[in-house]
Amino acid sequence: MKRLEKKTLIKAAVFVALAAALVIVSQFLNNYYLQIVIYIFMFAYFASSWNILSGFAGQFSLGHAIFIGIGAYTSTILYTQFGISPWLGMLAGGVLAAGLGILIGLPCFKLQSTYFTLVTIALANIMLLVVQSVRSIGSIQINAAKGIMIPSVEGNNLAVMQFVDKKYYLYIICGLLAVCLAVCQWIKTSKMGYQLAAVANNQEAAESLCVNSRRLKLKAMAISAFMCAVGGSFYAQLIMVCNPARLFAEALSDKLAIVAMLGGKGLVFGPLSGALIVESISQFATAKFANIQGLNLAIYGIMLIVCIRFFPDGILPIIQKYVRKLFKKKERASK
Amino acid sequence: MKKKLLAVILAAFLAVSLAACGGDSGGSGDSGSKETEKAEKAEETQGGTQAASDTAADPGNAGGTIKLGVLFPYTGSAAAVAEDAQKGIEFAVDEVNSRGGIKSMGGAQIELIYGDTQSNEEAAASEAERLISHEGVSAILGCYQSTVTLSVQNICEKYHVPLAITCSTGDALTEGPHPYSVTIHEQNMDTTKSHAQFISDMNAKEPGAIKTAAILRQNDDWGQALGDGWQEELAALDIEIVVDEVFAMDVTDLTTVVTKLVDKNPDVVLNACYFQSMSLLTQTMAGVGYEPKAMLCSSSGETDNDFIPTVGNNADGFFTVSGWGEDVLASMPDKAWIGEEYIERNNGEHYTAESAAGWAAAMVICESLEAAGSDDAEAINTAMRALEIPEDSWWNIYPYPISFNQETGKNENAIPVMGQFQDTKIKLIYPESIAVEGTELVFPGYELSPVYKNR
Repeated sequence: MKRLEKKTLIKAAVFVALAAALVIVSQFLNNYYLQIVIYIFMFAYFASSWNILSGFAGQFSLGHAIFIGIGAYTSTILYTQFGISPWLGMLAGGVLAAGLGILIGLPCFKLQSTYFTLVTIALANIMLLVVQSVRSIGSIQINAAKGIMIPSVEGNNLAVMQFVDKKYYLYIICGLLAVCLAVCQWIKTSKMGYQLAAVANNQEAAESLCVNSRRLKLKAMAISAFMCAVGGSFYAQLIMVCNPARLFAEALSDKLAIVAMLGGKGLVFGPLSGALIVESISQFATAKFANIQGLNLAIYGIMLIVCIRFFPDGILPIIQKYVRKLFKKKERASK
Repeated sequence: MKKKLLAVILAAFLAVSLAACGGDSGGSGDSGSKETEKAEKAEETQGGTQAASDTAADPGNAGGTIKLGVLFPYTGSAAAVAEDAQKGIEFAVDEVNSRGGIKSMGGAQIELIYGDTQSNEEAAASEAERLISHEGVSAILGCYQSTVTLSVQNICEKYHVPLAITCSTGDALTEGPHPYSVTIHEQNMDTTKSHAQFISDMNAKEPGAIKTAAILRQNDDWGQALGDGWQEELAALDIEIVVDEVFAMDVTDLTTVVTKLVDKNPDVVLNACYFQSMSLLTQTMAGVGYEPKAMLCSSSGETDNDFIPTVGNNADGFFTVSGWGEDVLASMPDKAWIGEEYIERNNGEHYTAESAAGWAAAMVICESLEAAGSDDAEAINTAMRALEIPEDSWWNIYPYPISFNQETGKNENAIPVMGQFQDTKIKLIYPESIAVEGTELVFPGYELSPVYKNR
């Protein structure tokens, strides 16, 4: 019991130290570096949300941009056309996406993994074409391919989630990421997590032990979709425009999968590690080789090939292995 | 062992990446401190705390270097356009630098800093932040796709940094107050109006020649804006729209669309297509032997340098509404050297509408710097909005003067010109004032087409 308390205390202390470090560091970064850090954490958040369904439950989705787009559009429409704060729009988008996730899951979870993946790709493309073609639903303006602009307000305004000073965006995304990681950790260590792992490894075997795989997967889908949509609202507020070609794009869905798999699919901190690698490489390559056509993407691609070829389980397991080895050596030395 | 080695290499690369990203900010000497100073100034400006005296002309950078940001989609399907615009910008900057730089600032030289929008708003916003906060640019030029430009326009307005919009024609860019951006060339609404005027003039010449129309467009904001404009204009002219088709940017087969055209046989086809779909459409139409009386394009795919090498004579007879065409220079003999030098610089490549837009945007910024006598963003912006560039200015290759609406930043003098592909070259034919002597509009356009010739 005492040991457990000590562990909890250490974790709490680490958390407080990290939060303090973040606040201090953010004071010294200019807006460009803050923007990079925000993107890293935002993609870590999206990939962690994706990881709940595709990592923990083993249902490989390449259509999660649907939920990001729904979150972005819901909060933007509520704000621009009804004057409702994006904070409330965020929750509304989350609920809408969770509902849609369940609707998608009901028929699709009957499919085996590869077929499920293909269906998610198809659904994302259908959604993109629908949003690019629909101008309005009743009195609600969707604006088809034109998308929706978010009118900017002066200064830092918490109520409408718009800030000139980027560090406030950083605090919000860090808060969202912390909640997401906590949910992931809770799922991973709870009964649900063990059942999801069993379903992901061998669905028939899990079902023979009375695990209701369909219900579990629907739960995972709802949580994953809700979180992605909440992040989508944040994304829209950050870039101030809802462009369907970006928000519902296959490239965005693929990026979530790449980030999570590079870091370590199915691990709580895997997507965060992946985002650190992917976004750093991406931003560096873009900043340094912008005017040499395609070179930034080539560098990015080569790094991805290296990672996938030599670290198929992700970077995090390798880091963990070396950290453990290091600690063991220290323990031996102290003995 | 191998994995260990690779892990070390990867970690080293990441460390170098991050260090390199940060390396510039800590640059040695003056430039490093100047960037920090500019970033600080930009941040102060956003908070509205900048003192009025800061905006006063300060030739402190006399004889130094002025940084301008260039933001375009250097990766992806729009990279060819970016390359053309970049060539125009570089040509203009080299020209100004070789003529002694910005004279009011003691001959300060212009340096271009590039950013890749990757055709998406998030990357564009991030790059705009980098150019302003980290590189300390005094103004930005860009960014082609209108929604991407909108996100950069937002950033520029927050930082109070001037943006010379280049190659973006979205009407939203000039709707409402935009105190820190200007557009030099035509916008979508000018294009649709020009098409409508052309149809109306043709009907006046040959009554009843154009009664039906087809609209073909990409499913993005640009295509949608043109589609909406055409619908409105054609309704006013009482022309029936018999085909209205939308397709994806990366479409690989347009047979169904062309079959519809063959079936409905519209008199005029209005299209908004990027290079890939424009080439595909041209080849598919030639393949089935279909040609409308007039094929009206919208200054995109058909003006790409690779279009004619791809389709050859199959585009002969097509019309293109464009912000600019090489023939404009033919009607300005004293500026012919601009086209000749461009070809020489770029191994025989010809000036495109995008190169012209890049050239003009860079020149507008340089003129603003000259007028402001300072690299302060606010001063440049004030000078830019007050510019009055006459049509006969030594560098103005547009057939109209350049000045900006104080509220929207739009150059209201901008009119699109119209050309026709005649034997693989675009000949400017409309409005008649810019048509080169000896060039005649061949109408209906199909008399030029290979299909017609083979009959």
